[in-house]
Amino acid sequence: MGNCYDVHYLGDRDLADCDSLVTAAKRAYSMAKINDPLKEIDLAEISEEYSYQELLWTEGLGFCGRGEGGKWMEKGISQMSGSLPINPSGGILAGNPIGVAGAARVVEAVTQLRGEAGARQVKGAKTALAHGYTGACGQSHCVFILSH
Amino acid sequence: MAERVAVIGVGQTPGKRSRKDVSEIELVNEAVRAALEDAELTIKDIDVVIEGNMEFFEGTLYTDQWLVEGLGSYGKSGLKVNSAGDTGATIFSTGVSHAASGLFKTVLIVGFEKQDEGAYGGIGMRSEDSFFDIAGGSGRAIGAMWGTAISVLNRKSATEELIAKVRVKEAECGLRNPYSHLKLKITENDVLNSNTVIWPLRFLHICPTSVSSCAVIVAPEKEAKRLTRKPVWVKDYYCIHSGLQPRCGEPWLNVGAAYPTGPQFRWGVEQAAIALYKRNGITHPRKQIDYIESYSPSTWHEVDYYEALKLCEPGEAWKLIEEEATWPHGDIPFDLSGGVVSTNAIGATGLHRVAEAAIQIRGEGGERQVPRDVNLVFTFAQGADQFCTAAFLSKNL
Repeated sequence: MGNCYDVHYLGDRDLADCDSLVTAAKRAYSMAKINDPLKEIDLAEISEEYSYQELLWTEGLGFCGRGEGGKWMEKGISQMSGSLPINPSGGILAGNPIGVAGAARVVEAVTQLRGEAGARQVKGAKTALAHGYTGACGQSHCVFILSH
Repeated sequence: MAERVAVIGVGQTPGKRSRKDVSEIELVNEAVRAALEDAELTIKDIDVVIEGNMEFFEGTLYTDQWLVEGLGSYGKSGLKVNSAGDTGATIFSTGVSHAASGLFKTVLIVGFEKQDEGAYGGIGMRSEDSFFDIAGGSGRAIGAMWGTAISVLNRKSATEELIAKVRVKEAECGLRNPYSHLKLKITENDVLNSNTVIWPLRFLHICPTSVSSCAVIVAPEKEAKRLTRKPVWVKDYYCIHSGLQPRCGEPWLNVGAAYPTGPQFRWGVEQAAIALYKRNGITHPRKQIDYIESYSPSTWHEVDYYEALKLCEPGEAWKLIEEEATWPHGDIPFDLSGGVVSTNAIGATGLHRVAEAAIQIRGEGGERQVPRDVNLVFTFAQGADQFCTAAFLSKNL
């Protein structure tokens, strides 16, 4: 797991970047000994209150390069049929009880790893990523790697 | 604990009623810089920042995030904790847990309250539950203080005159602490004649509304020994939370009656003391503990805690007061900082207790120093009736 704070005031940073997510992800990958997240992670539950955040967070998590989130998504990798499905639960856009939104990502990851996700099950999922953030523009991020 | 943990730095800002000269960011930064200087570290040496204050007392939330520049937590790990009056002690235990985990080398813990901003009074004094609390006539802080006061009086643990004597002791201690908010020169008559808030609770029995910040740095054993020559060891700590008072073991209809039959306000403190005494071989606390730094938001609490901490037999707190056992020259000095009745910047208050405990063990208390060796200190805080965190700090491992 890893977490990290960014500056709070929006004028103090480039809002098209998410340095604190990059750092939080690096800390989690380092602890979990993940070298290539795109290959080693089977599904990701990430927190996005706005659709564009999924693209930005995808870059921050290192699934693709900076500024490449859109193109990466077009490849279909993050679809349920892709090699790294993102938010099989529907994510926060499908329901956002704020205080438990991050924990719900972890619960979904555990459910997937147990193979108990029913119609939304990602087949053969062995390693999952769960992500939460706080601050309207992602001022702090938390990344968990779960595995069985 | 997985790793043994030591306090390696403390920093406090002087308590005030108002600090219009600083923002909240600047206020916490004063305490952070003081703690770093005390530990002879820079912010680059810190791995994690744990922060806490009262939610919305300044009309803000997410304070761990928007105070990032003051806390020095940019690019670092960290989190915020809020457990009402217990916040300062809870963030301490959270920080110690982080250091004990073996995952982090240095943990900065910061509590603050800037009560010259925000609608603290409306939050602090109103009933938490619009039906149950009002039914029992208990407002939030004042109601709880009254409950403790009437309980102490009904148990015949102390008279109003003896409470006044303790209040003068607290005021004299506050005068000797440069970080104390109140600097009161008062007599027992002043206390006895101060305005009644709810009898027997009087105005001078109650803690002030303060602005202050406190920072404490902790580190696991190996790092602590490398970084400092004056570690103060966290011998043990204990968190215990119960239900909100009226629902804690008493029917809610008896809210008012519950206090005279036995205060549940102190329940957590008593349970924490029992557990920590047992784990640390404390059978005669008055003899084995050198100093106590408590969270006593009113003078009645201090006296109630004499009994909760087993410094005397139940109902015999008056003996301790008559002997002046908890005075600086007594055998179990209690709150020589002036205590919470001298300074109460809520989110910092629990952490001020830890800082003062560490200062006493290091022998750096100046005019408020216990006049003999301090090896073992018991310190605790409690909040909103149901949160309690207590700790033993010691000179030796």
